Amino acid sequence: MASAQEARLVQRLKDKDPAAMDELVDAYSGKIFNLSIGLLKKEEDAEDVVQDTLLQVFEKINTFREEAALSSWMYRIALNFSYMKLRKIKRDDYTPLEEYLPKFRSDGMHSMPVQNWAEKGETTLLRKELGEILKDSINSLSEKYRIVLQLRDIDGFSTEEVANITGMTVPAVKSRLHRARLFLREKISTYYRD
Amino acid sequence: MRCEDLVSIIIDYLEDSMDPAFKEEFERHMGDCSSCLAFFETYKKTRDLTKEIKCDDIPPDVQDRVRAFLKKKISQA
Repeated sequence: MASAQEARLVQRLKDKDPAAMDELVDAYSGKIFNLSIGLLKKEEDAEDVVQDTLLQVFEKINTFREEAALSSWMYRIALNFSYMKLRKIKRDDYTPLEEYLPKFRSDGMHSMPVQNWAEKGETTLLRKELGEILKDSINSLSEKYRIVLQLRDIDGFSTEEVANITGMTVPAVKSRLHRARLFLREKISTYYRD
Repeated sequence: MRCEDLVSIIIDYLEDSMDPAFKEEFERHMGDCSSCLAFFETYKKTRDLTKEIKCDDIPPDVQDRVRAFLKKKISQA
């Protein structure tokens, strides 16, 4: 949603315009649902997060500081509600990243030649297949990597916005994002090698 | 610059947040090292493919329940 449009929506929410709530649901329920189901895996838990988030936005709209983006504020609320639920769920099926990170010799050079699969042309079918590989790989990431990857590369927030939403520093966001991308890169590289 | 150094700062290069002196060294190394050039291009392609991922739509029945929940809560307020 463009920022002028967002500003108008904020004002209408503050004015308690009932149609504004519908617009909020249309514009953001899908994104919040995707964010939370990625963490919580269960539809009913993600639905709870969507409800709680949008209700809190409506109830606390007068506390919203308009120098920030509405979407950033909303995602922050959604993330907090998701983390509260996540504390009750024990997950141990994450993929450890270390074996997928690049390997170097003791002199700091690549330990093996690197294949440039980016040069290869893709059919629509191959591109779709690569998308599925990426989705499955993202689903196997622990939440600390998945969140920054989703917010930055899928939802399109800037690094600074991701830092603001997650409460992390910019260097910490970059570090996690970089490791997540290295993991995904290696997953695709493995596909091309096999 | 070693290959390991280049890989560790690719993200800064792509975010255009790299010191100009480092940037020059980064680009020079990529010009001299085919593996690092390949690594950079596959890293960038990975990022670009990730950006194309379309999130699944919220199921319509979930969205309907969210709407109904909010209407009820707002009317009670």
